[in-house]
Amino acid sequence: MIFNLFKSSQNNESETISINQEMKTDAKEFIENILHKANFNAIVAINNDINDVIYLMIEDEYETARIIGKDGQTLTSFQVILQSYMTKKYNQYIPLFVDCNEYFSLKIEKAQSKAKELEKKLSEDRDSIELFPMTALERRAIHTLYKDHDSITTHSVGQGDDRRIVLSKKGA
Amino acid sequence: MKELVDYIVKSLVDNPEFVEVNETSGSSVIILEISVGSSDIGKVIGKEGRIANAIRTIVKAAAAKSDKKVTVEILTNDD
Repeated sequence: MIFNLFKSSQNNESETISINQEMKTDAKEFIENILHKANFNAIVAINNDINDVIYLMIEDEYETARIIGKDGQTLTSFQVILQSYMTKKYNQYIPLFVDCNEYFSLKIEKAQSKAKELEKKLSEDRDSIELFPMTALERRAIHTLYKDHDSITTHSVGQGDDRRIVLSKKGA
Repeated sequence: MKELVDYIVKSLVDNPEFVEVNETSGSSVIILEISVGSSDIGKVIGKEGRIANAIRTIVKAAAAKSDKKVTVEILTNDD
């Protein structure tokens, strides 16, 4: 479910990218090397439940807060660097996701369930409802959730840290 | 710290042989100067500085242990 978030929408109609074990191992070793050179003792595991996204899980017991960073900024940085490395090495966009102790996965789930909860408040006399500000990843998770919904559509308003989702009734 | 930056930068550029990282360390600060070949500067900075900021964020996370403030500068190696 969450994996849908990391596929580029532009790639839907072009040929599907084949991600092989070599690419996964390469990505894992790259992140492991960076962590070790940054003096973290964390280990990196490959999640093999999905084949069209490289999903790496950093597993750590003691320094989780520093690996994740404020609002997940450090974790996102590992992903940005890895994305650039993989794109250059394999000459194509490779969907990938780096998480640490399920930080992002839980955040996504939480954002989606919050939206589900607020969705009930849309009624006869209420055409739209604004959520509190969220990060790009959380907003994307909610947009994806309602992508093919019959009666609800989503968009974002506000700038920067204040950017937030608006749920509205279709055709209203 | 130098080894970390060196590893990241060399893995992103087309000409790793032109990459140089200099580390200057004071009592409370560390300055890291990255120089790359002029054709690779975009690879290290990235769109709207995304890559450069990611490098800075990772370096800061790594430096948090040592209580030193770290600055990362990117220079072009034109000669």
